[in-house]
Amino acid sequence: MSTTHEFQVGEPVHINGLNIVCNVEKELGSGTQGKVYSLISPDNSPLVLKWYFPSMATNEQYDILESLIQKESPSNRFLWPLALVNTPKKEGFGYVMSMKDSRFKSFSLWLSRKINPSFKALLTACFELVQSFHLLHSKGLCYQDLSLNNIYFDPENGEIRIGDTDNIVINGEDKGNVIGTPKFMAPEIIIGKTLPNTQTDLYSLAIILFYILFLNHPLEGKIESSIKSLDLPSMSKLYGFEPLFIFDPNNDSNYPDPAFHANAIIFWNIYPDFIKRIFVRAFTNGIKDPMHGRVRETEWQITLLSLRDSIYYCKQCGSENFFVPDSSVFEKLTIPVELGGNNSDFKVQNRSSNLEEIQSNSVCWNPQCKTLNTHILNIRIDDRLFVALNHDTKLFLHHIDPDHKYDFSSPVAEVSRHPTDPRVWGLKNLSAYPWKVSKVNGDVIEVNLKQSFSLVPGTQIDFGRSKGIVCY
Amino acid sequence: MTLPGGEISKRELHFIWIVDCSGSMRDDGKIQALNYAIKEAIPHMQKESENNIQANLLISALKFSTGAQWIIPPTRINEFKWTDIEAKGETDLGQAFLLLSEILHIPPMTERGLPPVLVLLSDGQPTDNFKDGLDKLLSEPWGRKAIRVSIAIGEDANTDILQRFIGDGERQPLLARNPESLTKYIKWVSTVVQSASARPKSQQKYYDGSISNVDIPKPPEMISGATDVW
Repeated sequence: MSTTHEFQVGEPVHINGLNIVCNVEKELGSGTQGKVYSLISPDNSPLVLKWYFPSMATNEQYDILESLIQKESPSNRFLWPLALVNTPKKEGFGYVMSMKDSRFKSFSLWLSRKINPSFKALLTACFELVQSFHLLHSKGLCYQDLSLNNIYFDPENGEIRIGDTDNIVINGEDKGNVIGTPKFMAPEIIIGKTLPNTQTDLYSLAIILFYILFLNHPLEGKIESSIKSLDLPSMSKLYGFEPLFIFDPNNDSNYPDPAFHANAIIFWNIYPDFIKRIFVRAFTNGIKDPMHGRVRETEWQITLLSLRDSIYYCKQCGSENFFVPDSSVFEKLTIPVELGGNNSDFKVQNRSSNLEEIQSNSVCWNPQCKTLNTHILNIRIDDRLFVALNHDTKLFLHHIDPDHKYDFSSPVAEVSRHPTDPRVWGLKNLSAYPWKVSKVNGDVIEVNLKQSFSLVPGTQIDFGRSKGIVCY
Repeated sequence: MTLPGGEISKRELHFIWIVDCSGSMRDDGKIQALNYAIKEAIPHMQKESENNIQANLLISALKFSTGAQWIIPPTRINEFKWTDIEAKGETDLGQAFLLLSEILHIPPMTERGLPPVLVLLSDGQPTDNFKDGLDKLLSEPWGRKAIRVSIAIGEDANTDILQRFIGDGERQPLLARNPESLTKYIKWVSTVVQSASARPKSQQKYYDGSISNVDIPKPPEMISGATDVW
């Protein structure tokens, strides 16, 4: 028995938009909207076909796809529709898109701890997500159904891919079949006040970032664990009508339950205050004031990159820890208040009595280690940012050229080791522009491509567009 | 280096097969088709639960013919094996409901769970007092909250009773006229319905407005051109 909206293995698929004929390789899966098949293409380029269930193959969906295909993909991170597929032999329609490489894994594998990414990879993935949705939103488009089910990352380096792009519409047009995925939907959608828009996308994005960095839902605390059977009515209440952040500084009635939400507590005690402040804002003001209270993507970008730049390896066990310069230095950094700069009003609730101590003393979080890391080599650039200098640290245009923020295309500097004296560490110039380096004794030297200078605290570097100082 | 913390904490999700193996299931290879369909569904069920960040799936099964018995205790999906069942005896559906109602409270159910999924497969008429059993089942909070799905195997099944098991006005029993559609429906309940309780899926903008415990996507769309085998 075969039905008119399903494909059999080997069946030819004519893709007129790409002027090719492919064959169905196999069924990859079935979702709420349709079935997805991998295709064998003439030039072996990895393609997949999504074919809608007849009830989902609406004229509106067709129009959405047509308009997405005409637009260019915001970046290669999106698995964008490439061509519509129609055939008189089948009911409805479908579209083809690129298949993601097998190195991209579902975040559910991280949440189930079946893969072992580093903090650096996770923060890179978070940054890429925020950057991709910033690009999408700045084109006036809205994703509508953002959840952990449709994003993927490479656990080795944090590169991401975004799937299910067929619900992307022009913001405010109220088109499409979906309103979102439970647990990721903004409260104002759940209570029926609005349909998905870019503001609700921002909320879903914050949920995803929290899930990835804390392995816990930001609203699942004591109130969640007191629910015996988590059904739709109780979910609507928890995530829609009475949402309360588990680390709300003014209301601890939904604080994490140590029996079920240990992850939230563990990670909250590891991250520096500046990242916790921005999450507090995302899930307090961000819930109360959907229009103006949400954390913008550009704010997430700066904060996530600062966190990634603060990673250092414990000298004893090698675990990734987060370095924050002492407050006298940190206050000088011009991290805006709204990003959680030190003057921010947002208090961070620390239940752990020794947390302050842990942070100021930089004690390794690894329970088997707990080594005190007193001196961490770092470079401060223009009082704008700081970067911990590890054996594998690289600097990019993002760091040294204020006009090239977020440019990570190729490194301009890397930490290097002295060729004959392994105790001496340096910073190697990988750019075509010479650096002017002022040594502590007042001498000024020029450091050209592939040359390094010794990382002596107090050394100042003129990168051309910015100035740095080595700190310890 | 491994990062701190552990796996995200999950809720228990009980998925229970309630299988008719009365004598009439011997006709036309119905019981063989059922055994085959459930075995077919297992790998799909495993794959679905792999991506699950919310549920620890536990599968169990009870059969009813003359009386009712548990045949598989709650088992993790990766360890779940279906043993072929044979058909003989009466259709004591009421006994099955009574047996079911004995476990649908805390304990043995967990303090922190998801609505259980109860799947009833039957081809005929109950021969005992099914009504008392059903009343008892629905008097249990977890019985009421459960996602109840029923599949009628062949045209002779009493769909009225299967409808009463589901509850009024929500969904209808699925009518499996032939082994192919039985396989499809079983795959659907074991993946889509499982995940409706366990793993949040995209919600559609236009739904029928009925308020239920769990939002269940539509059953597989099938054309009815196939010849009836049973």
